[in-house]
Amino acid sequence: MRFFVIGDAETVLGFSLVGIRGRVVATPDETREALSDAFRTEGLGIIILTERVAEPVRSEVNRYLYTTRFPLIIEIPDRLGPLKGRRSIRDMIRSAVGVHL
Amino acid sequence: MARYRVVPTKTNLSRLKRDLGFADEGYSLLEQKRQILVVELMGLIDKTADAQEKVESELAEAFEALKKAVMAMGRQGLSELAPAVNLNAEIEIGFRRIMGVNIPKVEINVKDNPPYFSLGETSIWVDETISRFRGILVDLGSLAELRISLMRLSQEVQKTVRRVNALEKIAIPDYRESIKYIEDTLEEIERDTFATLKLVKERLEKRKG
Repeated sequence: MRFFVIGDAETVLGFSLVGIRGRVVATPDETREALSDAFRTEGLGIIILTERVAEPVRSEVNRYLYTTRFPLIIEIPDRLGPLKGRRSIRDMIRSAVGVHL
Repeated sequence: MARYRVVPTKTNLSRLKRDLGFADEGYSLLEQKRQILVVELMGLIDKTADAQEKVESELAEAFEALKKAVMAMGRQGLSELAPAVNLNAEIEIGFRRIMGVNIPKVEINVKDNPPYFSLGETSIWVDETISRFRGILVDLGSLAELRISLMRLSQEVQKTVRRVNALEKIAIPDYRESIKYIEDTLEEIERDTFATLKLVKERLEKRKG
């Protein structure tokens, strides 16, 4: 199976240099469309999504994340670095599971 | 729940006792499940945080190299180079199940056959960019595996906690209350009958005497 990348032009360009196809998106609607297209495409194993484009369509991303076996979605920061105010993994898990961790 | 709707009979009492036993059993099983899941989670959290940190610092470097490559070659030039790169990242995904949760197992094989283009015509930063992004791929695979495992497990923990709580705080106390209600009522009826019998006996004896 292959990688696929959805994000800004810079990210898509970078990954295209290592043979990964991708799609540049600018609006939440485009992201949604790109996601649903990607999930219909055969042979994709991991979808790389930049945090900045994932955030406005959070509920869709989570739906794919929890309900489909694969492709797996992985979020990465784009060239501007991690989003401000992003919760760390520990915080996310702590609030999901309770304070006792 | 059931307290005011059960008819206080022996049959209902034994049925409720059986149900309570079942609920207790379910409760302890779910509690065990929750503990196992939390142990799995704890093991994953640190690994995931490390993997994420690694990928992010690598990405920052890769974007830095990309910026320089773009400055040297132009965006157009770079995207024309892209098809020349004969690099194949093959992903294999397997699944294992922990307590009914699908946990992915990701393996990534990167095959490449350099050189892709004549070195004289391209900037050194292009090679730098390619090797940096290439390095990220494998780490991205393990990050994806860890992160998705973590999120799915934590969702399952949440679900389990809700069920454990529902049993512990609602279902089991309700059963207990209903059982107590039936037992009290049955006792009350018994005392009533006993008193009536005594009265009858006294009257019978009076009539005799």
